[in-house]
Amino acid sequence: MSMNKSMNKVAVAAALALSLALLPGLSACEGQVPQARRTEPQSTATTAPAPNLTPAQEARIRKSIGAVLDQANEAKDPAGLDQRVSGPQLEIRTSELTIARATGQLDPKTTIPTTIAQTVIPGDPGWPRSVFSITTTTQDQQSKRLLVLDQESARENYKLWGVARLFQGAQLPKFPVATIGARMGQGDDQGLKATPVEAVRRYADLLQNPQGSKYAKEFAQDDFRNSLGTLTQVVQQGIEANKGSQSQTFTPAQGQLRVMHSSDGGDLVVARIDSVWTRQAGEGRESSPASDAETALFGQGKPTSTMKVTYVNVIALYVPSADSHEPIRAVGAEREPIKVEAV
Amino acid sequence: MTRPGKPSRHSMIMRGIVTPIFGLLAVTAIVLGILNATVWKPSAHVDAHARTKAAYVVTDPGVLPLVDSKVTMRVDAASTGTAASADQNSQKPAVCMALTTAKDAAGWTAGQDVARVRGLDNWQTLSVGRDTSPGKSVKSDQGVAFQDSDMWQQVTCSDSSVSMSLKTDDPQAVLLVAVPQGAHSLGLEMLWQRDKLPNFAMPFYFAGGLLALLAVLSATVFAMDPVKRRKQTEPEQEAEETPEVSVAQALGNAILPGLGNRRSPASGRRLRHARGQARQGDPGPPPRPPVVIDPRNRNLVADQQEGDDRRADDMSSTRVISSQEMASYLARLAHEGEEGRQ
Repeated sequence: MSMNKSMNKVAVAAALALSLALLPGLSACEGQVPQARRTEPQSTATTAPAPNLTPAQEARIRKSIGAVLDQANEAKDPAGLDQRVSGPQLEIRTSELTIARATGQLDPKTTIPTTIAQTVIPGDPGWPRSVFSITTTTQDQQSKRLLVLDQESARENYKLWGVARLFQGAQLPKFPVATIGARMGQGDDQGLKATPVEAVRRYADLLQNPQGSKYAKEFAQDDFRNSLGTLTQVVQQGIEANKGSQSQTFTPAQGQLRVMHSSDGGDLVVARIDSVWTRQAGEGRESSPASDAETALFGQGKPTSTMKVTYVNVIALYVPSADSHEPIRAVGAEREPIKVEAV
Repeated sequence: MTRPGKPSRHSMIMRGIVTPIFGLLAVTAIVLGILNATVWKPSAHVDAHARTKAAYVVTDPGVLPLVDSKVTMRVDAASTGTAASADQNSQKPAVCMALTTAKDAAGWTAGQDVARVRGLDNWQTLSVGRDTSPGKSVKSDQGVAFQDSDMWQQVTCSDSSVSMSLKTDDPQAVLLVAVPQGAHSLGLEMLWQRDKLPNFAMPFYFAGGLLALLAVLSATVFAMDPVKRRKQTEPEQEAEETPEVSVAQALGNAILPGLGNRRSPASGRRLRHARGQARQGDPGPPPRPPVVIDPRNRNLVADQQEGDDRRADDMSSTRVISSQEMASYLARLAHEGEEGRQ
């Protein structure tokens, strides 16, 4: 019996000791402080970079730009435009407002719808950055506009760099949706039918030599070349009547292009091409402006036998990938005289 | 050998030591579980602070959703307190805070000294370090004002104290705090509101339940004499079993029955059966390999001919009584009929 009692005491003591020894192990369940995971910088070749703007930010930017444009339109004064407009569009808009002040009304083509059909927001780090937005058609059923919003540096805001009116039925390439993030291109992108810079140079050559350019086969027909050719022919008939002459030069502006990679491997290129149209009247006659816009810009100037008109052209080209069977095609354009002078 | 009427040593150990241990542990686990669900319950709010002096403060990627998606950051800008600029100090500095991405914050602060909120040192203290953003520095008076930049998804400014509440799971989202007038002493506070609190009680409840079960088993099934737990089919061999167990064996037996068994591998019941079978020298028929029937490989003409024979065979094989037995039965019936008539 005494053996049993002592054994019981030992057993109870052992049980207590073991229980107490195991207690701390069970009670050590404090939550650990979470650590921030270090994420690697994005935008590698395989991963889609996060877009630089949310669609809401893009809408807010367009609204700000629209407010500045509306203010300038109402005043028919380009002062203050440079807050939100830059690049070729600043010169084009300034000219449009100058013409509007002379004619009393703004050309309907200057309308920019406030709603968009699509926006292409890249995720590339660094600056300058661009966003391509495609608007809906205007209320009077004009074609869609391709807007190029540009941010030159982190300390600057996005500005409307270029506007191209898309051609009727123009097929734009596919881009990633705005919430995924697209990739910007460069002027020297390889793997295309031509680098963006070279494609713009060839297109300018084609504009200058519509009949004799060796690059004619590389480009699909487009509305811009057709309408420009028609206008030139009409003017040519008048000039031939007074034994005059005309010439046009098209020069791509250095570094004035914005490129966006499409999902199918091509590049959508928006570039500025400057052109000078010189018309010389024969038989001692005076050369006069060829349109209302030129007349407005010429103002009270004294005409001479030679008229030199400087145009800013904004061309949107789609350059397919090198292995594509498609030609390079223009999908939209804008053309505006910015200076008319008698020389 | 166990004497009838007196518990064996195994039973005493199981009921006297192992069961109380498991019982105490079960109670302890349940008590700890209750404490974790009440007194020690994690707070739904995590409030961490830090103080730094900088013109820019930026949270590292992943810090905003560090504890939960709902986060509030508050920044208090205090005056510098230097006597030389007493007039300036009387005018409280403006502070702005913007929600943006890490790359845009880095672009804005390029070349500037930045205080980086790296995370939590502990549940009450923010981890803050200093760094210089890569890139070329831009004069602060160049470009747009901080609050007017397009790069911010949200921005708010105030005279001295600014706060922003967010709900974000985006690890790339960061908050950038700017003091346009230069470096100031800033009090930083990040407050997370947890929707889903970590449940530290449940593992204790689970462990408590398991331990209670083990305690019950230790007091009942595992405390039984191993001899009694077996069927009385082979008493001569059962008699050879030794009930001697140590405390470690008993514990092991309770946790994993059979683990603390010191018996020879051949002494198990199943092995005994296997051994008996081997002793009989009858390994049994070898397993038949599976028969593969290819339905395409058939001779239909032969099948037709065989079919007739097989039908006859089938008839005979399916008969209940053979023709000879039927004949004898009929003869016996006729004979019984005749006897009956006589």
